Amino acid sequence: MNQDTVKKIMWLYEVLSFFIGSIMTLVGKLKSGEIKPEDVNSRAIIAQLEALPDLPE
Amino acid sequence: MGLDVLGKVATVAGASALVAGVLSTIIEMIVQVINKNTSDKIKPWYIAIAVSAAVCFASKAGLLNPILQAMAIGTMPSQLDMGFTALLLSGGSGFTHDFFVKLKLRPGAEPAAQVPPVEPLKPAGRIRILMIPILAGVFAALYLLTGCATIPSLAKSLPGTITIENAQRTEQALGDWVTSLNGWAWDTYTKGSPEKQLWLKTNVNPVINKIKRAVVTYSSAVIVWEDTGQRPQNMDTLYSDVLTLYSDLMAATGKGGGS
Repeated sequence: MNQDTVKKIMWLYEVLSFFIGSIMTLVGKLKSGEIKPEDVNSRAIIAQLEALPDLPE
Repeated sequence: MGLDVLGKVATVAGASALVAGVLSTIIEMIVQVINKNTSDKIKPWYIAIAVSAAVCFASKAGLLNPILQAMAIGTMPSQLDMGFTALLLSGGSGFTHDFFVKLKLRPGAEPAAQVPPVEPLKPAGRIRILMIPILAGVFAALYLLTGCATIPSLAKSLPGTITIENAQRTEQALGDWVTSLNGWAWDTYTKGSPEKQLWLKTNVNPVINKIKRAVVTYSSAVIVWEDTGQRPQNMDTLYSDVLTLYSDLMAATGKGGGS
């Protein structure tokens, strides 16, 4: 296995761990009930998301 | 083959490997007791499988919840759950390997008095038997890697869109998730090598942009629900769209990557 392959595997591992970790955090938040519905502001969430710049494609 | 299907196949394969490992362990222990061969009973496999099995079963039975709640963790973190499951699979795989090596393969191993000498297997037979633990290990790794594919199914089972309160909670969690995804992608993109940037631009960024738009649409539907008191008919579809996009995101990582 050459160095490029090892680097590629490490990089994919890094990406996969972030994606998996992030979705697990999402599921954990939903299951634990730590988010109170009365604190949720839908319009603020939309504003927050729309303020995020689109990623280069 | 979709990730959902792959995840289910891997889960079944992983579970089969686990059952094979546990069964071989039980048989091995029985054989050891019958042969009064207790000299090498304690092995890493034993410790791994005992600890991980105890944690897995206690977690599934909800016995750990009082402790976790007392520690302000809430419920068993999925990462730990998966980690212990993988450890259990590895333990089972190790047992399988140990069982076959000890009983059939190890050259020069002294047979117990009651057991007739076992002739060493020919190389081809040895490879075939060694394939069992190797395959079990591969299945365990596959289970761990594609376990993520079962997460959308898990999320679908949550009452995310049944009541407006749950829809709002789901919306907040999705909003935080997308913000975190977007931040990670920007950071990785700006600091990445040209190869990584190209890979992100081609495979990952378009999906994250779509997820962001899907969550905005979902949030807009929640607003309609809040304002009118009527549950929009497409709530389930919108939620499932986000989860499908997550599967697409995972599938994108299978398209290689810049080093």
